[in-house]
Amino acid sequence: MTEASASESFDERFEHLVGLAYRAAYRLLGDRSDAEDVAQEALARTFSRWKRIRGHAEPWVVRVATNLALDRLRARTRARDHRVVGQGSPIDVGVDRLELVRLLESLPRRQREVLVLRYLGDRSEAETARVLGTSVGTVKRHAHRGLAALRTRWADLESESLSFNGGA
Amino acid sequence: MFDHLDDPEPFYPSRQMAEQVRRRGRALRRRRTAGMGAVVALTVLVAGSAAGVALVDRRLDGIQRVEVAGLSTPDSGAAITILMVGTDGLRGPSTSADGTPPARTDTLLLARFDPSTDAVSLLPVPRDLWVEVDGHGPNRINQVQALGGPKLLVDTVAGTLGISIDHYVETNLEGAAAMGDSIGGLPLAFETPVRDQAAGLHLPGGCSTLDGQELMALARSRRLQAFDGARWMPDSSSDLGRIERQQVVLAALVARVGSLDVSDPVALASLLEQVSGHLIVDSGLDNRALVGLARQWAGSSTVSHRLPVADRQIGGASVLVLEDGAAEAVSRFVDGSADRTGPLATSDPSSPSAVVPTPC
Repeated sequence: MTEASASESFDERFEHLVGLAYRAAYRLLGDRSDAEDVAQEALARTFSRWKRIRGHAEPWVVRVATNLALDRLRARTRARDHRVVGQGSPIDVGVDRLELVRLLESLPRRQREVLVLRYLGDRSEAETARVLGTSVGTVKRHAHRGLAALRTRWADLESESLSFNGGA
Repeated sequence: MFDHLDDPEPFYPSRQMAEQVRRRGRALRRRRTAGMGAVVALTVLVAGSAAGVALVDRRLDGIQRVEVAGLSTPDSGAAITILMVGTDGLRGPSTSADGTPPARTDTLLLARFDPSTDAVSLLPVPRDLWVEVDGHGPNRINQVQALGGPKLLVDTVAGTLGISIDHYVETNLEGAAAMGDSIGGLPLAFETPVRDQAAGLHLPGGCSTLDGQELMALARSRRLQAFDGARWMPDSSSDLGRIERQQVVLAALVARVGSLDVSDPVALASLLEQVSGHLIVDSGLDNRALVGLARQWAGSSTVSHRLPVADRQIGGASVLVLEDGAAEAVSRFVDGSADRTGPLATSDPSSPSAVVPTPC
């Protein structure tokens, strides 16, 4: 494949891929300019490896964007001592994001990969299974377990925050 | 599922963004070097040349295979973790059956290949790491191979870091040094003159071409000194500086090998034969898989990780112990995240007093 045609194909898919990267990053970071930075870096890495990954570019972009966003959050929390990230009311939107991030980092690798591709990247079950080299059944199972873990932590945190705020 | 977390405003990339993506992408491509065990990298050249698989197989006959119990078997298509061991070959291979004392472990490097992201993650393990050794009590990790061979080393690394290891590749430094001579030496530059009297190394400041012996001495060097104009000052970073030097040497070696003219099959074949005689791999890693890994390594960018360690004196010995954050570093290595070379990297600065050369 010539350099020219490889680049063209990237151009054609750029808008779609950068949208995927931005969405995954924004869901974790809750900040426009941070998410744009991450999306830009994710797409730059995609471009630098285009020939090798264009066959599975969408899931690749989602994973790279997710990892970059998580790195950024880690740096942020180290610098600022766990201040809640994200716009919107700190109790509803902020807690969701923080919990999502904590959950992702605590999950076993396989479950995490499935959640990232399915719910940050909006990949289908079939595509996720193909990319991870497993069956659709396994993908369903990991997603189910991961979400169950998330709901449990959400419920715990909700009741904690309610009692903290003297509510219900 | 998480749509409520989405940006309420639609996102449209600017033309400027697209341009910056391309510019940075091109820079990443240029910067990419395959830093790795030079011995394994050489097989990529042969595999990629017209010589073909048959030649590779025959020339790789010299590779010694050993049974290493305790390795795990990953699913096909899943990421695999390899323990790469560089030994001081002075006293014979680690698995010799004739009573020759085993070699000392000089370098330990974990490499993780993820086929779905084409990423290769590296995690060096400092040779002075203090670990608990099954059946032998606590010791430095570089002693473990001598105590119980590759199996005990694999078990100890896997147990200490909480990971599973799928393959084992061992090479002795002589192999790396032999390559240095075969490719006409390696040009490296130091800011000042350096020496290591114990290793018999003396290099001028600036760029010089190191031959095989000098490369070997540099890779081994533990008492490197730099001349500051008036005095010889020691490199106090000890093991950490050494690891960085080794990685620079290996990366430069591979880059140089990669730029050689490989059209002469006879010269290439003899080079490969020379090198494969110094290679020991586990019996589960056949030649085809080995070449495949080497190809992947040479074609990817490597993501470097680091174990957070602290100096400690234990019974009069100067060792390193794992610090808080080690589990996190290992899990980043396994996940293939946290690229230290990108602008969003959150890496610590490398040891400030390390004396590290650059290719020239």
